[in-house]
Amino acid sequence: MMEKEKLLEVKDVQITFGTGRRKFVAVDHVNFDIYKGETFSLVGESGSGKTTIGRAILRINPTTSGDIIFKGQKINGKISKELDREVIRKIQMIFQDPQASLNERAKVDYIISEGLYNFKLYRDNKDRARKVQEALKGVGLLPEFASRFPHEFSGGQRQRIGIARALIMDPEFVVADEPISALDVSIRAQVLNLLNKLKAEKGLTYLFIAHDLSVVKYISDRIAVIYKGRIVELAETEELFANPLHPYTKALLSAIPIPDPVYEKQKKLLVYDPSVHDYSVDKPEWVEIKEGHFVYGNKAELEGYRKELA
Amino acid sequence: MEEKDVILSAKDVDIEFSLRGKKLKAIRKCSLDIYRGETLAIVGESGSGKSVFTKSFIGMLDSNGFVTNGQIIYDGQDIAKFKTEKEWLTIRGKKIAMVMQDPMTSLNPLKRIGSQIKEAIELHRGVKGAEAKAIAIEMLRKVGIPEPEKRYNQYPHEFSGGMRQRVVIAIAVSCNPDILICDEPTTALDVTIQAQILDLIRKLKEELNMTVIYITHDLGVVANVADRVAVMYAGQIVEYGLADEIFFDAWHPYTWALLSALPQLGEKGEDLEAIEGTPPNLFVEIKGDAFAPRNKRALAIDFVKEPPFFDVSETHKAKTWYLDPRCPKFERPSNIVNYREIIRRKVY
Repeated sequence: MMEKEKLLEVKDVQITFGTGRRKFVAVDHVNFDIYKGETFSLVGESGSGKTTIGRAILRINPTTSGDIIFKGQKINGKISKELDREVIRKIQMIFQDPQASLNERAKVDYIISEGLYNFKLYRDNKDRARKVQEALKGVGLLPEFASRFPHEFSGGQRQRIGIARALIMDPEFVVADEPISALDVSIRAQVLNLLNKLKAEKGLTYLFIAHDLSVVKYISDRIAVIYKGRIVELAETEELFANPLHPYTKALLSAIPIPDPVYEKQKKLLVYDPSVHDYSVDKPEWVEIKEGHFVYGNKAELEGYRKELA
Repeated sequence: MEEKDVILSAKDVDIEFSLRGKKLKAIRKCSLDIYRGETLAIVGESGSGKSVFTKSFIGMLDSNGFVTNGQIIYDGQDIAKFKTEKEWLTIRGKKIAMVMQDPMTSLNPLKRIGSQIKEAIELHRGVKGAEAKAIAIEMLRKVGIPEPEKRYNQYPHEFSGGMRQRVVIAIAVSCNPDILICDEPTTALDVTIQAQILDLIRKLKEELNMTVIYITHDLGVVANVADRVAVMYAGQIVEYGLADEIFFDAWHPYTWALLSALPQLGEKGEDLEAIEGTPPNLFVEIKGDAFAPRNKRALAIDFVKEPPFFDVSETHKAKTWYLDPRCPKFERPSNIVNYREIIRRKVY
């Protein structure tokens, strides 16, 4: 097998908010790598810290400890100005709510070109206009939309504008934070197709943050399940769905509603009870239990997981 | 089969909104019978009119919206004719209650949740003080809130999203309504919590003998809860039938499109079948089948004449020319015909 190139490494990262008695650990010793060209998904409930990790990669939230390494260079904490600018350019974000993430008072032309202005990525105004038009066409919008305001568009179109704004910077890595949860069912498929098409065309790598496992299953190569700031399981998509090990992953999988009335009405719901873990003596660790399949557990639990896999 | 008892019947309902002097036809000739004791799910994308339609059952249309035609018969009276709040208060909350989408906004953040439940009980059940409080605590227990005596005195911000939605449900069912309308009750919640709330509503329905109407766009939720399904598009019901019939034997092209666009049907690396285009403008008169412009396989007649309802079975009807005996021979999309097998293969 060919050695896959690591684009991003997250090593033992901890993110806390507040200090002293009010200190809150949002992300707790998280480890994962994202390979070039893959779609890596972070799945978890609200408040689990999945967005915080995404924002830390973009340098919006400072990390407390640990390293985030992008193309071999550490990008968290204090870094040089040049590197900071490079990171801002190479890592782009697509936001959840297209109603809130576009400047209502700016025309689409400006919204999409803002990054170009900041980085002077154009020769003259004509060149910039051409780039904007290409970006619009690339996401399936008409070039004349550039002169309109965001409120003139539907939710799906606005999300496309958000995608065009991210992609005009020619990023290598895109953090997509719940990019389709605010969209209508019929529009979701369009945007998912677009994300897949752009990935293939431009060789992008995605970090996909989501809570909807049915979408995640379709789009991702690997999935990490996060619970209360800790990644509890990580595996390739097929492996995770076929052999979920951690009880939280199992509960999460059992809760996905399947659009099949016969199946749904007889299914059993698993509820996750965090008190099943007794970590008082036997301390848990993050272990690769099978090639590419990581799980968080103590010795006794890992023993059980190994039996399940065998 | 036992004779089904119609609890609420909407006949040819039209609903219009006046917006800046223009008329918007939100609902066009909707007819629907709801049977006692069933769970009905109304599905459609935003703007299809599913919320507006059900809001007219409890007189909660915005002030610029009116039922301009048709009847809504409940309990022997035509509630579409109701004009005053006083008339509505005999029904709303008491007989037909509603759970809204967002538990953050449907509770008053400044009042303790106990007093919010008590208020509803005092208003509708005619009991006061300690007696009402006892009922309120009992309701909290019933919706699965631990330590209800303590929680009674807390404010909404002290509850999590799922717990808050439980409180909203407790308020809605505290007066033993006949019909409970749940408007996207779990959209704002996490999947694990969503499953618990759906279970809770199912349990309460049995316990309190309610009829439940779900409004949702999530077909997974529909499969989980619904006995019957009605699909809405551009202000009209386009297909309705038993849940199995809608999922496994759909006939309207819009239902096909909704099912085909599901990511669960998608093969990784291949495109999903997206629905192209956008829903029609409701300010202008719609000619023919409203979905025709987005339907790749539309018939010529779809653009000219609006189809009537055709029977697929006794319980399953669809508003499409495909079912007309004069329709030229055609095959339904293969992923609709084989829907059941595809889903099974993907899930197990």
